[in-house]
Amino acid sequence: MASTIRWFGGAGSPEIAPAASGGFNTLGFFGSSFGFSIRVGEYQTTTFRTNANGTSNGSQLPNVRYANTSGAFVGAALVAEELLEIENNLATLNIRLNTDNAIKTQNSRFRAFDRVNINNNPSGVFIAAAELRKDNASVRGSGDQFWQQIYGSGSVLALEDQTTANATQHDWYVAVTASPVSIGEKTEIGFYFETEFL
Amino acid sequence: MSVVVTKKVDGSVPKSRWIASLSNGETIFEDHKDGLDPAWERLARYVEQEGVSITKLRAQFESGRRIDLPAGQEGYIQKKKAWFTGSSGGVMLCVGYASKGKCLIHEASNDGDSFSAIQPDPGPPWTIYKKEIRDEMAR
Repeated sequence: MASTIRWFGGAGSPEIAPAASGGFNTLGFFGSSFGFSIRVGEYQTTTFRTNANGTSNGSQLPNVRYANTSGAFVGAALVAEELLEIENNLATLNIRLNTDNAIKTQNSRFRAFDRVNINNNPSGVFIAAAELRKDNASVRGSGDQFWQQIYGSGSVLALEDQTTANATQHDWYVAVTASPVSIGEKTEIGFYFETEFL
Repeated sequence: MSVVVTKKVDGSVPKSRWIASLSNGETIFEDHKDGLDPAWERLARYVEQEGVSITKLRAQFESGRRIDLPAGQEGYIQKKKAWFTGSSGGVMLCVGYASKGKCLIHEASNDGDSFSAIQPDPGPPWTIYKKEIRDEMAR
């Protein structure tokens, strides 16, 4: 069965192209705007789709910045929101699985690694993530209540099993926040997604 | 209503596939048929309808390699694992068998990558148990 996994920068945002495309194939975390650095120990205030070395602006993406263990600043907001109150369309990433036959999924996982081996930790950056599951503005979400630091195989974010009905498209929404632990550009960070289906 | 399963190789059977032998002597092939549930789910309904068990499960790959699981297990498992890093991705065909709450899963790709692991038995719909166990579970 043919299956395709694609990453979008938030719901409705452009696709982050596959690496081999040479185009806007990278998720970039920045300071106050594109190209600005993040201070050591602080979190990104903007997120962009960019090229492999982070020099070209491929459009701004939703930004979800760590505020506390269960909250985040969304976009330019000055007041933090609970993770459970952030809607799917404001997620950093929309991960989409398309299959040519309708399926259910289980054991979906999202991890951060060093772009060499999926079991290795990302280098020089603290990464935390949370699954968002809030598709109705008036109903409290059912995703993750707390941020989870993710690093290689040591800490992996488990995503929702989607087993209610068979479907040819499955979407997961993930908020991602990043904080450098030392000075300098960080490129040894990649993301890995896996899921199982019948 | 009868359950649609594929009993001989035709255009709906992929080159890399699972093949199940049943206790009534039939052989069922994985298929991809538009508008129908996944073949494994249909196989689960078929063995229930016919009151039979899977006696053997194997995986065949387009490259010619195959994985043969031991016969007569408590249950058999099949699933696909899709993965993507942004720079590469793929789909693994996973087959295994269950015993006493655990399962041994073999994950393999057409190009030869493979990995085996003991995991908790995921249960239905991933695991199809033999008739005696299904009957016990239904009581």
